Amino acid sequence: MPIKKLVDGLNKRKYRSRRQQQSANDPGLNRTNSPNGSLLDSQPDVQDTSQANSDSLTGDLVKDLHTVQSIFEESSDLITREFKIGATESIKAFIVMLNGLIDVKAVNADLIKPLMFLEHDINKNNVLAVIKGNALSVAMVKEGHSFAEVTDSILSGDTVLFIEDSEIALIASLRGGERRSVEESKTESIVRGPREGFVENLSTNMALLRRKMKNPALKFSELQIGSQTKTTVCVAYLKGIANEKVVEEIKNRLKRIDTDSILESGYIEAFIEDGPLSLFPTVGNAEKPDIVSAKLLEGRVAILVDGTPFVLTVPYLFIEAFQNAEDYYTRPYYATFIRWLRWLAFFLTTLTPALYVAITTFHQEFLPPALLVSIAAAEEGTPFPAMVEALLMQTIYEILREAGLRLPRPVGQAVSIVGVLVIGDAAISSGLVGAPMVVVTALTAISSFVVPSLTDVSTIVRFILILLAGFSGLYGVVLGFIAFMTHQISLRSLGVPYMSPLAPSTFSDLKDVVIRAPLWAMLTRPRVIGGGNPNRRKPNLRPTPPDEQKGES
Amino acid sequence: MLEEGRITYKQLILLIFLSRIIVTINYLPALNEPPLNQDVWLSELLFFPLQLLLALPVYILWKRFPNQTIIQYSQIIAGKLGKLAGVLIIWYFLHSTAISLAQFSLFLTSAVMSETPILFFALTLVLVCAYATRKGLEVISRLSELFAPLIIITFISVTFLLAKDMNLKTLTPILEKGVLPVFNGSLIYSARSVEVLGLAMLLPYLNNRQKVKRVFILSFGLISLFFVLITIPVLTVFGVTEARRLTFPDYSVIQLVNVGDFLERIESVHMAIWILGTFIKVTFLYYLTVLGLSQLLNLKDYRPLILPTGTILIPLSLLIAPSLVELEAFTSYKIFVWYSFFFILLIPSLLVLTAIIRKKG
Repeated sequence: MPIKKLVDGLNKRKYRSRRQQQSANDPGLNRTNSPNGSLLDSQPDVQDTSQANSDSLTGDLVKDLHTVQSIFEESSDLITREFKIGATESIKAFIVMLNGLIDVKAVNADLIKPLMFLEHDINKNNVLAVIKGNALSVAMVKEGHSFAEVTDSILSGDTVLFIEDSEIALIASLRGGERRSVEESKTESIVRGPREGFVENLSTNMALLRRKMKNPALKFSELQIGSQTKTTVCVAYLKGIANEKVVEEIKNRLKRIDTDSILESGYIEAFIEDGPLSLFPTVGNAEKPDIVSAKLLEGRVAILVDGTPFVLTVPYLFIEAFQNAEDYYTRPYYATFIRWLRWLAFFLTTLTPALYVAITTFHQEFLPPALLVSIAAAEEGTPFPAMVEALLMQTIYEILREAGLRLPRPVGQAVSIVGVLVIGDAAISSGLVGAPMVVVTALTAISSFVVPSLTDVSTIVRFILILLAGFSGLYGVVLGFIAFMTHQISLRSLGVPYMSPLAPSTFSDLKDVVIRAPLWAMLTRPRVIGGGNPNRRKPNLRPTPPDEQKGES
Repeated sequence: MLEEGRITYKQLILLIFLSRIIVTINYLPALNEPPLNQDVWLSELLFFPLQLLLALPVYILWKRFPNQTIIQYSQIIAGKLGKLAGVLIIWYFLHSTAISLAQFSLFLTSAVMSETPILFFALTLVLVCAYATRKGLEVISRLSELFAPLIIITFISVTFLLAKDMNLKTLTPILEKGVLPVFNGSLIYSARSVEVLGLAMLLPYLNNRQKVKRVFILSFGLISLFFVLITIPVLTVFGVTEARRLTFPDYSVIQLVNVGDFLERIESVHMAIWILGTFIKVTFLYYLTVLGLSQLLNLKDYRPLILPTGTILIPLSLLIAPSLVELEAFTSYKIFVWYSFFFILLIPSLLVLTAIIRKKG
């Protein structure tokens, strides 16, 4: 009964803002509110009815049906179906469900049909037991005692069976409806490795994780957040591997959230992250079960949110942006090389325009003579100082990128053609910007896609550094770098320093940061995550060729 | 407790190391001090044992008061006089911060950006340092942990890149003037180490008490080796006579790096390193100043002191060194060594003696 708990929890914490909002919206209602006020405060009609019936079922079908209908007043997707149970002796009953959330075929075949043609002696005393035992061919059936519970189930897509003279309703889980099927992830494409990505449906996502880890130690603990949306949020972790304190802390932070809606995991992220005002993300997200499984196996905790394929993982460290699932599926040398390349690309994308501006404006003497001459020749006729040029080009690039992302695909091509012609060619030939600046912008743009999870961070950092470079040269850039480093080092994600294992350095963890050691050499889980079970695999797993003498057989 | 953070012995070593070596990558005062000849590098090697010896009082004091800083135990040992010692030590920290700040901004105005006023550099650096100081000891030590490898790797690679220009014959004859000037030289270098008092302030925050000896030995050993690493290229490329004429010897030597006509003009890297390193040094001393001050005044939090101290620092640094000439006059060994010995040797030694006599700790 998660909703009950939530209601109690919500009532205990009355935030000032919430109270203000409430009283502003409907002051009259607020005064009459009773213990479960916050659950229903947005639905005044529901409030009154459930109050009158003291929330529990009566067993009087006419009354109950009326109550349900008044709860779902003006909800045209509500379906109620009255019928009689039993082929011979009949007991009145009705079922309630929401159109589109149920599997109609299953409701017909597994619920209505066996009940209607039930050939069993039933009376008012044994009806519940008989139905559960002999009639309902549905795996998930539970009993509902209150309207709050029943309403919650109906909204989640369950079908509820009300039986005459029974104060208990049966809730059959026959969920269905239109859903996206499991497909290849769009944001995290790979060459080698599993392709399936998470979908919007929570239970499918849980199943995808469970399929990766056939282990009862994988725990899913659910709760509902959002007074309006009642979104199911699920904390997943591996018991014995995840840090219990972190799990508890996450649960506490989730329970603390008192908001009207959770539409995406980004909402959750905003409420639980450690550096809420920081530029840098301290909560990670992933769209693929293999990535989330790997993070769980490292001792992290995942938060699955119903309605989004993006799963949050915490603690999230800076270095995770430079790790990729495919690193672990390919051979170590190339994976290490690519990892270094990502660091290089990150520094290129944040620093290149700033360094270019600083050096061409303030420190021409730092350039080798040949390079200096060619840059000077290219920049000679341009009307703007380097900083303005850089800001201009970066802004145009960001506009193009955003336009290309949002526009329908056929129009997107037009955008890129305009972009290529306008930025690439016309701007230079008309003498508005220098050719080196276009090279720098292009390099910056390409590099930013190498570390996708830091793209938004690097864009902002880049703009700040360009400004610093334009005003105070290399000095400003280095000082800006120091300030960002200080900030990043002071950040924490669920108690784990954000920049670890670089600073504070943990030597044994560098095996998966500076290099990607072969799997048989990575014997321990990351120490900084601090889980209970540091050992991953047995030592001496390094494959060796069979002994020559023994190998003859 | 005022500072909740704990640091590892590696972080402390790197902090002390960075703070001590960073000035030498530009100023290298050793060239104009005894022994005044090519034996400078021998003095720098001898620096290691001498510095250990000079830091002995601080070590003894730590043994007696493992959980307190020098500001706190000086009051236990000597009461009112101890408080005066605390004031003097804090003044020394503040003064050292101002000197580092002056060295920092004077290098930038004279070598790199000659049209920018000194005040701009002093102001912006102090702002960033204040931000880092506010974040506390853990963040400062982690920053040094992050920057130290960058700096060490850069200077080792510079030495390799300069190898073809080096003439090792300039290092001979060895011990031309005998042993005494070499010894004097190392005494002078060790007198410049405000870091000895830094250790007296930070040892209580070490997370592992077993590693204190290692902190002393490794940090001073590393410093000594790095001095040699900086000095050898300067000496062997320029020769001692020419090197002594240069204002920024190491900066000048890095300007000579040229590998295959494409890897050249890497003094921008040198400048970046200089900013990183001096940032660590100023932040470190700045932090020691405010921490010491708040311990002296029994405050619960040192953060309110950061900005007032910063506003004192900037005019102070402009006051003590309006130009390079005045800075060098003050920091030359004839004056500064005696000034410095008073704080890093005399005060701790007197404290040790008093502690032994009055049986404290």
